[in-house]
Amino acid sequence: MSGPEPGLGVDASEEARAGRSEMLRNNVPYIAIVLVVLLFTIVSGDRFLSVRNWTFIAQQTPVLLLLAYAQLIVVTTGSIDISVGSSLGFSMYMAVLGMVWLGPAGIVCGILAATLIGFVNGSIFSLLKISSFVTTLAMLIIVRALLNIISDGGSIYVTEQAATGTYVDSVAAPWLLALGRFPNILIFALVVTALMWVFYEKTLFGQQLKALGGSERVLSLFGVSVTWFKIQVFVAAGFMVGLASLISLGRSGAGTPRAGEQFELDAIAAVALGGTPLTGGHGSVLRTVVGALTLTVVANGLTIAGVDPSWSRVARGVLLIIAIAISLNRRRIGVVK
Amino acid sequence: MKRAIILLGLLVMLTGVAVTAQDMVEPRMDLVIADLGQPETNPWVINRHRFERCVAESLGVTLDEFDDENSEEKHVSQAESIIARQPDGLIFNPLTSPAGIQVARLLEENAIPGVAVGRLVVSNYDTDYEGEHFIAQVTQNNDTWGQAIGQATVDAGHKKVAMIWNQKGVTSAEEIWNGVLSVLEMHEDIELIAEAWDRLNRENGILYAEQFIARFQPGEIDAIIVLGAVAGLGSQFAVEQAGRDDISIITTDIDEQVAQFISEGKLGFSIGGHWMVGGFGLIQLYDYLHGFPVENTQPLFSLIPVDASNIDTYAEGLLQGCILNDEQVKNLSRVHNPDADLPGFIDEFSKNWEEFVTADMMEEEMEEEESEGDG
Repeated sequence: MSGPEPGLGVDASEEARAGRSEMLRNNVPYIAIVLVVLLFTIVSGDRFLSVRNWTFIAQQTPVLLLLAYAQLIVVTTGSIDISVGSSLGFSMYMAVLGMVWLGPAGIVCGILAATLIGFVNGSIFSLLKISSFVTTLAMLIIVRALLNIISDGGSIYVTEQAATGTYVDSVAAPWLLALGRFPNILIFALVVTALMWVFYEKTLFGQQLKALGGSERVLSLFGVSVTWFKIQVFVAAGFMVGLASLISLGRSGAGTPRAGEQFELDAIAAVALGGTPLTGGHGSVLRTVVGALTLTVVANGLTIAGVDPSWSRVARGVLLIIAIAISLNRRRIGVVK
Repeated sequence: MKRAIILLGLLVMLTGVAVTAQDMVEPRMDLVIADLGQPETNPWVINRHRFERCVAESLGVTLDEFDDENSEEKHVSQAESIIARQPDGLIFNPLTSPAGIQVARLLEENAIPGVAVGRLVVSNYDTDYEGEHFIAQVTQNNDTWGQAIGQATVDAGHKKVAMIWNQKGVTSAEEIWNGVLSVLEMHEDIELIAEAWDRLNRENGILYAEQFIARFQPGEIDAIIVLGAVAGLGSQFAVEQAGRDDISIITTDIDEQVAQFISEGKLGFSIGGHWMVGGFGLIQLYDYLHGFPVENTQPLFSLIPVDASNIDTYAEGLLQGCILNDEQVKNLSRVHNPDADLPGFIDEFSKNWEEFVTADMMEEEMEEEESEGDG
């Protein structure tokens, strides 16, 4: 009786080990959220698990989730969009301003504004060949400044009833406020998630996103105009920011000059926690959902546990590094930038 | 007849005892109050927390502090998470009015009483607010604050002034600026030559001061009015680095560094003490949780102007945070003192704070002398 050839045995065990590593990497976001929920259940018990708290979490996650989708679209191509926070604030303000001008239909001004910002981002990036980081950094600054100019520092409130002079700038839209509350905000997010999944996983555009992240040259060999496609990528991301602005406006009840500040970092963190490499090439809608949910649950759980705010931020940063360190497939990454 | 008089006397005494017993409330020692505000990155927040902790300790309240990372969205999310902790009450320093309105809505929906401190949620609580659980907003008098800054500018003889202020959209900041303007506009010879509205941090204080220094030659600018000590000290640093001793910095908030600079004559004027609103709000909430209705839903604290003449007293008495001892704190609460007049104290403190601090210092000295004598 002869045993297996030594070389083949080693290959098989290496393959098995690689397979296990791959499985672990793919499931890190899911393992992380389970561990996080278990941890806070042990630490905070009933208060963390209460229906009221999970209702809050269901209200807190959707805006971040939709911004993370916008980021996912761009990051899959190997680019980045750090203007999403400013874009969110600007489109929220334009949506409410549009409602003041045109009535309820004016809310589309928000979606149009965000889409336009996406178009400008994409055009500068693609046509002028300025890196996406620099382009969107400039737009982050410009759009926030434009918001300050247009609003002149003032806020426009969304109210249940027509204002009777208390607030100079307000618009009555109870339906929008209802959209910003549970369960409507969650239903909206679930519908967008379903559409995003189809768009990202099942359409040619979704496949081309991944192809562009893998190799720009390959995409052009298929006869796709890469220049135009890159613009479309940012337009799609802008449209997603526009959708986020609607629920964010319903949730916050006002268009303000400070809305959306720092949201860009959370959106990037959610995508990264979902295991999508910032170098592009692949990604997952479902894991992005888990990434956004994990970020929200961790922030919420640490507050309920009474952790000092500064330590809470340290914990969130450490979690981000650990999760990404485990989920990265280093063999697929040639260069770390 | 004699028996009747004795009975009547006893009845009166018993009624008195009953009334006194009704007035006295057993202080709760199990209260947990959450505090939501901004990160401890400026003297106002740090001092507010220090004083609030002292008040909480005096009243036997557990105080849990949280911050919003200076983001409107996180302000609301944090408020939600705090409410899920089910505290007995909430003290919050709203980042902006819209964020404050959302917190007020959460308080109403979850029947948790709360007090806003430092910034207004609505312009006028009594006319603009109809809810039940957002019970009061304890803030500073922004008009008199701004007017004091304006008057200090006038008194110092400055004619050409620039300003560095909080980015627009913060109601309190805009009200303070309107207060400054109301004084400056009464003096036609004073000219506002440049404005900067941005985030108030040290870097921006330096940045805009340098821009003004580059733009205006000596004689073209006399002073820069800067809201907040963090940015104010940045501007002071820029002026010092550039060797432009022709430019004075007028700022607000007083920490150890500001006090030192005022003492050395590097800073002409500052104004502070408004961080006490946190502790006062906590006393108001504490009383409410013991069943006492709110007497004044919008008490206003007048700030304490400080210059070289009174900086030592201020530094001695107010920089450490615990200005009031346990007994003084309890005297402001109707739970411990049926005659307590917190709104009156808030209103009057800026007028007699020096006497208050001096008396306190003398008392401490006497105690020290007594203990030395005993030794």
